[in-house]
Amino acid sequence: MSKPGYICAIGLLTLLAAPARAEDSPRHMMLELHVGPYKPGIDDQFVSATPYRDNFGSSSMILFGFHLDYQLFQKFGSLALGGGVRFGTVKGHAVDDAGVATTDKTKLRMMPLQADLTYRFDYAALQWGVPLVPYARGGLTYALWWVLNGRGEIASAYGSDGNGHTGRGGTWGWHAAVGLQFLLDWIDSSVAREFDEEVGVNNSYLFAEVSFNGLNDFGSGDSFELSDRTVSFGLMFEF
Amino acid sequence: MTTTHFPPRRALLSAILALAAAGAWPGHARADITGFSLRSIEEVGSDFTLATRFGKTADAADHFINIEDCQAYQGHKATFNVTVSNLGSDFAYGVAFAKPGKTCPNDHANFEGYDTEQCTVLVEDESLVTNFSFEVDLTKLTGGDCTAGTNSEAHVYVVAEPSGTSSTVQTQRIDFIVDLERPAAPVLDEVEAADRRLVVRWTDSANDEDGLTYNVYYSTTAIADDPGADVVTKKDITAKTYSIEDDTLQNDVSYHVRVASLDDADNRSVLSGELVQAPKSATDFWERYQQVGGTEQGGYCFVATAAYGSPMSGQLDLLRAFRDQVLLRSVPGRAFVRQYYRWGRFAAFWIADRPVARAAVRVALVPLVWVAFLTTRFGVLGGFALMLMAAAGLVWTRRRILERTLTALPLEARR
Repeated sequence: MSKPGYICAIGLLTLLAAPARAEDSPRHMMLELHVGPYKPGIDDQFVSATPYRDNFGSSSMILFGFHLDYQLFQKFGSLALGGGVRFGTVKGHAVDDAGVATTDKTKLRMMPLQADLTYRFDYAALQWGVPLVPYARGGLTYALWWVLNGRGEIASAYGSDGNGHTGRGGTWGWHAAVGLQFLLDWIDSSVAREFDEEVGVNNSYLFAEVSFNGLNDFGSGDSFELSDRTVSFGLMFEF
Repeated sequence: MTTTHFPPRRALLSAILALAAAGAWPGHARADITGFSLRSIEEVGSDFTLATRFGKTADAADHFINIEDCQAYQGHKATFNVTVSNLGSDFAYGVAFAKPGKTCPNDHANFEGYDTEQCTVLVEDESLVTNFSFEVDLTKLTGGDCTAGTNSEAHVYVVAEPSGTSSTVQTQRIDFIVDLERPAAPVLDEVEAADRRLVVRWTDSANDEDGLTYNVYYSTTAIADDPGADVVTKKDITAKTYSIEDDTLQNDVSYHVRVASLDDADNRSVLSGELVQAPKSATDFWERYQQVGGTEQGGYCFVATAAYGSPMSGQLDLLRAFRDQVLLRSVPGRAFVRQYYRWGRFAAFWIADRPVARAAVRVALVPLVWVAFLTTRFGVLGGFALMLMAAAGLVWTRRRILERTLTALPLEARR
């Protein structure tokens, strides 16, 4: 669809939008369930070596997790302070001296812990019934990671400094994201109202998010380069 | 002239015994002996040992005799120590045992006339006492022929019979599973080489009984049908795949591997065929990363560092920079550093051998490390300005939360 086409579609959605909603129960929190691919840019810290590709090929891990926010401000859109945790594994094969994959498996696991602020422009959705909510998010990340060898144990290896190093650690960084949420209540407002009355969930959204993750201990040359730009999807409940 | 064929006496006796075993023997009604317990079973003599699976202890629920046991028990006896606590002295008792697959009559304490090849009578019609013992000939209990390949039950009977007819005859039967049947050998399909590991795979379509387990044998030399002490045995494997992961396993060294199946009586099949394989070196991701010059050394920081006990060199560097760039540039700062070096060494000495105290101190140092980070990165004024802004943000957030909470409360409840 061309750009004018998108604009027309959004305009049509706006025209078709449901009238402003009746009084809801108070809303303070947001719970998001995320899923999306993630491919750490470990190979980017090397000029020619490709350790990630050697063991994992072109595979990405699937990061899934949740994010919980508390809304600090609800006047014109909402501003929320929150935190989240995700988890993912990428599986590959150990390689022999010739670089050929062996039967031994190896895994890289990541668990990013996030703390951030989120601004959502939900004014139009709540006041005028437009079912789309754009949002932006930014904050700090501390990513726990560990590498498993063929025995399923934490891997260990001698580094270029001659010392033995255990393959687990944590890397600091930041994340920034923009996304678009689609208000599911718009499809069937009576079901949404029941959901609010019975469970206390005011609004439910489907969302897609583009995130930029700078995970390298803020540019430290002695850290894993775990950065990636990726897309995630999920469900969000506002309650 | 017609001839009437009577059943032979032996067949008749067997039929009567079978009826008795089924509880159809005429006479008193029967029940388990109340207050009966088998306290223990002990070897008679010291030149053999009863296996644990024989069920020697008071709480043993199962009693097994396998081929190996059968061979070891030949020519030996065992003493059964029994307690019957709830019956009076007006009972008589008898003891007998039947060889595998046979039975004894079990509703009379008087076994007279039933001491046959199938049924061995040990005690006949004696006055019941609380504790008593009897010896069982294990050659007879096992059936004698350990190569018979049979799999059936032998029974030991204790019968308590009242002197009158008002009470019920009580019978306790102790069952021994005499399993002299070996399971079939599994088929060893593959031994896969991995890094300091061997992955063994086999199939077993011949055995379908429950409780089957497998042994995997490996050695640097060929494995005999009866594996010797130099062969390493991995036991109690329930799957049909096993990964040998001993630390002694070396890459590029050839190992011989065989597999056997074991039934629930621990009878072992003959060993499978043998395969030879050598573990091979493989480079996992962390090794590969380090191999190509990766500089990440692993480890955590802050709270995680304290919890995991890794060195906090980065934080120490920050604190040293804070000392040199901030504290030593002012009179109060220099005084603080002087006092710290005077007294701090005692605290350091005290916590040195106390991991919990060390972890607590590291956690307590986190705010100071942040102060050090901000002041060394943004200067003293910049660092403190950032800290003030953060504090103001926290106060504002707290006020917003309080306001929101109070708004939701009725006026009466806000005091």
